[in-house]
Amino acid sequence: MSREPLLPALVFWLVLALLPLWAPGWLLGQLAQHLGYGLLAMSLAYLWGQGGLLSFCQALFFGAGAYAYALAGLGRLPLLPESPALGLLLAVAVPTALAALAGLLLVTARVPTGPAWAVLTLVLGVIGERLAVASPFLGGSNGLAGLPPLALPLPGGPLELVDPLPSFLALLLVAGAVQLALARKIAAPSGSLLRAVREDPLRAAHLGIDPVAVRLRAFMLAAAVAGLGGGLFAAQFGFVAPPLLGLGLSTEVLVWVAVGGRGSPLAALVGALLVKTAEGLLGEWLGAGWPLALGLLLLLVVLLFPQGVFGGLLARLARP
Amino acid sequence: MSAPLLELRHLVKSFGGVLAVAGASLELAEGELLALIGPNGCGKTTLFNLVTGIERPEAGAIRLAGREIGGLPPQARVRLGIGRTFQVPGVFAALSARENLEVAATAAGRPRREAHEALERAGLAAFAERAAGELPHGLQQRLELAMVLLQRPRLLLLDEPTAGLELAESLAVAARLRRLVAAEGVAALVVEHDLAFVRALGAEVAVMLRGRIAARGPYARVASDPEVRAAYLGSRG
Repeated sequence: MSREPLLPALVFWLVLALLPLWAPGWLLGQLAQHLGYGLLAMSLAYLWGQGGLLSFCQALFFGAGAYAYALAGLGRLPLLPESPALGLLLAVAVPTALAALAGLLLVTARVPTGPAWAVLTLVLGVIGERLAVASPFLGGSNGLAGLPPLALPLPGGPLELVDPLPSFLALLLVAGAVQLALARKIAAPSGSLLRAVREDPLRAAHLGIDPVAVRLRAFMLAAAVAGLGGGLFAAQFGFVAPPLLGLGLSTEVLVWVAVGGRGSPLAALVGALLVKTAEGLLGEWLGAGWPLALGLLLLLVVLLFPQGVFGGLLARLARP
Repeated sequence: MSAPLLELRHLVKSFGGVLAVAGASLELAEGELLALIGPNGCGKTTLFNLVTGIERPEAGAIRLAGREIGGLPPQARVRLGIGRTFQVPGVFAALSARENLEVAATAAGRPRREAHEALERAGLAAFAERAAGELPHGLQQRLELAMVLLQRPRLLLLDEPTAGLELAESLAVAARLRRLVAAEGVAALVVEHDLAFVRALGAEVAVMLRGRIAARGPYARVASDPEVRAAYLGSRG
């Protein structure tokens, strides 16, 4: 999709913003966390749907953001103060730098973006998870607990994002801002360059476009968004552990994005919210049957809605 | 005398032991139009790939206005003024015609307005929102050429611009190309099979045989060359 329609996005965010008027606190708290996952889903939709780069390691950057927040929040980083705010900054910076490094390997090695690329991203994700498990600095397989929450510096004293309502509203603002920014990016000239490289890198090069640089920038932007999601998730959850950057979560995101629609970050975000909320509501009831139900859902979506449940809908709305 | 716009010296390229280009040399002056003909497999497309940077030569030199460019990636050569169209039109199939031109304009550092002007100029305004891959072949070729021209190239490499076109359409392409070269001072090297088109082009002809430029000159003279007749024209009657 070359354009995210603005109206459905605004309606969606307005409905979410009105939710606190009637929704119970527990639901708001849960949605706040799911919006963190939603950032991860949007990052993958940008990379996969717009850039054609199917990544099996997107959670690596989400987890790296979560760990960066944890380390800074607990004051475990040498020379740096103990600061959640700094942690959030690092939650964006560290995954971006990591993506630049990994990207140099993946993108500049001219690995074709088919199965070879997907397998390499998978290997990167596994390496990341193993490193986190093996590293005492990162808390090993237990992870790191007791993270301080984020605090907003308000005139009447700092407001800690602990209660469901302020957490939900903060995440709503961030996710909304990121979604609109990505929509702008997709409609911008640089967005069309990314789609051109997705379609045919060689022909893009024959128009003077550097396909490696374009892909590397997309990879880094997606990592920054995923890292922001990870940092915010860790701030609410108060706890980080290796599964946050592992293969399990990386494949889960793929499901959310495939269900929602990879062509549009908004559709992917809705996919994440829907699947995670369904898991919260039905998971306990279905027990071990939940993964089966999710698999069935994915199968149906892939067969019936190849663009995703919301992706196809949004594409129809975007058509002039 | 100033250096020629394009100068190829003893280019060599092989694939798995088979020589595709075997010491080809060619010069093209600023604003010159030259048709490159030769039987299938004689190395024409490989020669193009060497000039645009898809392939790297094993030996020989490629100079653009006196500058050696053999080691540069394709995108750097485009920025120096080499534009190329492909045998199968190089449009981005899933993107709309408008977006294709916008990509080209952005890549060339030009405002989007120029993309929309190019859309009008190429007579594609009615198809602006259609996916480029759904357009008829002739329109795809027109779109591709419009995209390449947004780069304001000094040298155009056209790989079989009339493939899949009717005779009348090919003759129109030849006329458009002649006008373009005359009006903009662009030099163009055109790979072509269609000899009616080559005649209509009214340009010099270079013949490539077994990886080398075997003859060059006006169409009538080249066509009477015995080696060319035997290897190429003869086989076509």
